[in-house]
Amino acid sequence: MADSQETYYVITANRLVEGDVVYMAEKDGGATWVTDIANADTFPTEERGGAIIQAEGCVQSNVVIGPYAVEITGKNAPLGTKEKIRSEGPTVPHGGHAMPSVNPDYSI
Amino acid sequence: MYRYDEFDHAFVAQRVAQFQNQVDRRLDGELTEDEFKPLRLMNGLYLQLHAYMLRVAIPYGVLSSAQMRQLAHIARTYDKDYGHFTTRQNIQYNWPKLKDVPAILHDLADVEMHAIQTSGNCIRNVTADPYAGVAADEVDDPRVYAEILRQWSTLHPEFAFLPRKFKFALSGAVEDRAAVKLHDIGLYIRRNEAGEVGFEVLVGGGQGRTPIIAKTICDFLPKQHLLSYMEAIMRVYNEHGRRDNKYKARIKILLNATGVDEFRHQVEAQWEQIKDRDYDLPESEMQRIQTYFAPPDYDVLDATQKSFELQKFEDPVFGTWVKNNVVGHKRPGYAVANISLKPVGGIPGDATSEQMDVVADLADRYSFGEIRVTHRQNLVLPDVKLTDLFALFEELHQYGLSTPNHGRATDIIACPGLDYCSLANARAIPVAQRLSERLHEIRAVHDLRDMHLNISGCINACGHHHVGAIGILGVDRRGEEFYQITLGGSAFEDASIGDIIGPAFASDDVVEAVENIIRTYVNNREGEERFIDTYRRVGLKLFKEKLYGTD
Repeated sequence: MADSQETYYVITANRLVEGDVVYMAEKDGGATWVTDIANADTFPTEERGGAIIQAEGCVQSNVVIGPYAVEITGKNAPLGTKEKIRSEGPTVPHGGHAMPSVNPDYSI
Repeated sequence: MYRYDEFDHAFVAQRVAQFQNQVDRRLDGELTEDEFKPLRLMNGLYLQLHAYMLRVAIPYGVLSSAQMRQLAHIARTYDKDYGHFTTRQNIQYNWPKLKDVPAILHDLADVEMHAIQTSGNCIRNVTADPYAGVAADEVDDPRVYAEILRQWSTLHPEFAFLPRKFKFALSGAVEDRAAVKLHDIGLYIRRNEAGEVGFEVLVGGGQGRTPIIAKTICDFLPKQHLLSYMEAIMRVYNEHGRRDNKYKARIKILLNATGVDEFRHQVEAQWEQIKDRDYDLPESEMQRIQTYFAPPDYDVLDATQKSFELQKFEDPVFGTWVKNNVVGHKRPGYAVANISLKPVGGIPGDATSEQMDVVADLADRYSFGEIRVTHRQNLVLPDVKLTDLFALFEELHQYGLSTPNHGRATDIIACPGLDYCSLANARAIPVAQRLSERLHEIRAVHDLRDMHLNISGCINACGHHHVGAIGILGVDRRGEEFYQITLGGSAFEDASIGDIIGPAFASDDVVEAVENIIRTYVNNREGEERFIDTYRRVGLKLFKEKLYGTD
């Protein structure tokens, strides 16, 4: 029985130099890497292998490390909590200025 | 505290230069990622969920003010203006760029710090009682022996490729504040009947997917034999520890499979071959290291200070902070001040650059320039005069560092969890935040001592959930975050592994479940009984019935 809905993927990795989470997109016939998953290229299952090979080329050229495919739904929303957090950043304040510096009321 | 000698300086500087060269070659493409990864891990540089993560060793949790200032500088200059203190008394930076890491290591080397052996299958940072040298209940100062072990284990050629990572912890006090029984090797400093100092040697403790309490293999090891005996244990482990399955590779698995008596026999057979030879430190060298940890220049003071007593009386908020966060010191007129990194609704263990700088300044003014990091992710100023506590408190208060919850329910341990960690199955920090906010609202909870809540985002147990009075483990249930609760764990001298209470809770229900458990405790405790004692007395069943109902 054929799938009624096709499964799509994006390719993600980290930039070698900065470590940033990035997603593969095509530019001028070659691979480029963007930080916003909304701008990532999507690949159906049968193209996923080719996309990974293309990403591996970017590993060889020292642009990114550790590429892998992430299943998505709808408008490039990654499946699963982990990939969602990876695409959006920590769900808690991070960065010195984002952290509250207050003392709660412990008076009795 | 210990200061690097010429050899230490030269060695760390050489390592920084080496890593600079390796990073340059990686960025040039001369090294592939496969070639580079083991090299970066040997320098504490991981790739995490969002970015690189650098783990910096804080040997046995002792920091000078200059070192703390440098940690702040690094956070401000190369990271996002904060750092995360961990359950292994280390600090982690969550956002360093690869190109900056050699400069960070250089800055660390300037203050006699590094990130060597904070990853990999080697002997990791040796941890110890954060009150070392100042605790009123101390037999001997564990820093001396921790430093000896640090030097021995740093780049020990025989132990660079162990079956798995290896962790030491030491305590020289009656109360165990170093989770000694949850380490691969735990050492309690003891005195024998003749008054000589030695060690009770425990082996095979650990958390992770197979939590086990360490077992004593030697009741009293005379201190002069420390290194030869440790060497003997490591040799047995290195030879017989499993290398075919990383989940079965820790020494706890070997010890369990071998049996304590046979393991001890093997260690002693090894030890016979090397004891009383050049493996042990001569007394003169031990004394030399001891001089680094000589007590600071304490004033002779009365044990009671009227002005301090008056301040506690006049300012009840200060009084509460003293009651909860300040503990006794071995010298009259001094105290040990715990600085909570657990503000209500905050992130356990996180400190901003500004807070680190403030603590460094306060250490200079009030605590002989020294700071300790605890395995419960807090900081300590070890040597504060009673008469300085009020001024210290007021300044801590200005920077969100005066939360009076040391050892209380809101003093929650939490690992970075799925917000940062690529191994995690569920988030730990947001659960800690919600629990902290809710429990803070329940005023009665503030007075409950030793109410340890520990949260891990996966079975690797960096958040020490197995040994929390209430432990919470994040699990993945078909893509949803669920939380399994354990009760009755303890990381102290009465160490125990918590019991799973029942089916896991959805994220939205976990706070209510913990509240229910605490309510059962409060309703059933006798007098001032601690949670763990009530639990051990009444058993799991009652808590379970109250939580899930009797059906």
